[in-house]
Amino acid sequence: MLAVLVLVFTNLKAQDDKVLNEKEVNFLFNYYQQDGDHSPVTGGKGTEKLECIAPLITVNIPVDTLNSFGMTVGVDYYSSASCDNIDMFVSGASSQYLSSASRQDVRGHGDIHYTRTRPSKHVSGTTTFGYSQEFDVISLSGGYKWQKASKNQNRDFSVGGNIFYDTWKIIKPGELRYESTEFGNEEDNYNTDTRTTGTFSISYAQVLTKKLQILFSSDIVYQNGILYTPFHRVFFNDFTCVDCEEESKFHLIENLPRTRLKIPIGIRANYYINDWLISRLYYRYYSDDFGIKSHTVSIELPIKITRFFTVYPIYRFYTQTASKYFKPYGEHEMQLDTNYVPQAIEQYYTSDYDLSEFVNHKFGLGLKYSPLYGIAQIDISKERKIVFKKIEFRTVFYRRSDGLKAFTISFDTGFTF
Amino acid sequence: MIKKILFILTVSTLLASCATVQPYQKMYLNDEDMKLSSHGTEAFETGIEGYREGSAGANGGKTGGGCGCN
Repeated sequence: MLAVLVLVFTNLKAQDDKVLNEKEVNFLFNYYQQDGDHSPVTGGKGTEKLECIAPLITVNIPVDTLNSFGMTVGVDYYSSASCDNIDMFVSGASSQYLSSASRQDVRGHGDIHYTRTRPSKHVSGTTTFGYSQEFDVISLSGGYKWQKASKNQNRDFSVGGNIFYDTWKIIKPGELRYESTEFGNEEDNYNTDTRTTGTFSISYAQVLTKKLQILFSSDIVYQNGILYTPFHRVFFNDFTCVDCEEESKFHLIENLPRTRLKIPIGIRANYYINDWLISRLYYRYYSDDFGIKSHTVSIELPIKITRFFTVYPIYRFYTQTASKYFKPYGEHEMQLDTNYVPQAIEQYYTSDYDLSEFVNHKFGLGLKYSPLYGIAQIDISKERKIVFKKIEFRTVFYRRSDGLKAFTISFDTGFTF
Repeated sequence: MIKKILFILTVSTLLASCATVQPYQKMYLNDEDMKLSSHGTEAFETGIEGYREGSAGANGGKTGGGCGCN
């Protein structure tokens, strides 16, 4: 009898250890396409056509019941018609002395994180380091998050911080490069500038009833350094040059303050309506010192077609006020100095429609198939097997009131072994 | 108006938090779709929205780093 009990206990323990030590790998494929007619590269008018393919792999490796490592690696491959216009006013003859962020670019990025939990105190801590690189920006990041749940797991509080340190190559529009360090004939032959972003995050989750739980969250974000994009043009109301060619009209590169404080506050509420319908609601209020205030409301309604197959329609409404530094093409005021040289009246100016007043509608659909014991299994040894866990597909469309249209497709699949 | 809504929600939360839901009563709350985080497939969209809109944060997405220029 005792021997049987020991055998059963050992077997159960082995199964527990196996489950707890399951390594998880997710493959995520994303595609994005947009088109509009307000590119900031050409001063707030012109094509915004852009395509982006972004595969991503995430790995989670539990070391034991208390410690786990994770890793994310991804590549964004994009082609941008508007970036192709960085040198739009440069002649073929002179362009041989210039180079720019190319029409196509690749951004590689990755991060690693380590989590340590203390179950007796319901506490966990996660440390993260990240890196990303593309032609004109290199970014380093680090962060820590501390999380504590209540004894009965009905409340959860977390607090954390992140620091991002970015180094930018200053790539100006072709016709606005004057110094040899602005031509960029060699990869390192650019002036550089930096941007530091500090984020303080706080969240509180609460179970309200057997079917309702909510989450309050906020990130206080402070940025310092280069906040303009060096190849964004701003065309002024040039009264000295009414009928002349566009390239002769007075224009400069975008200029924005070197600090920015952003304060978003969000609330999420999930309600289990019945066995086949769940409601996921989200609201966010946002304010910053560029003068932008925004409201975001979104709803997802997961419908369980079967126990493991879910379809969820998505709708998101977003509205924002314009930044105090934004004006459309040709509307920023200029003046002539004593030598009749044109100059901007305002200290800061942009014609980037991402900072304008608009309403953005997002709607789409998600499909998820995730059986309890996986979709398929492959035995690799007596104790180990690869389990094809789930498959998820999601597509959304964006319609922005300034005419920008976009859509994304995401495909996610996961394995454990 | 927003401040009032947030105040009411906060007070409601604090009052309701007195009611305890036992672990064996959490079969609905433990459903995959009841998670208070966003879907894994949503992360890419959150990044795009951070670039294409003037606001970011409080949604589990990235708040800094890298380029948002395109």
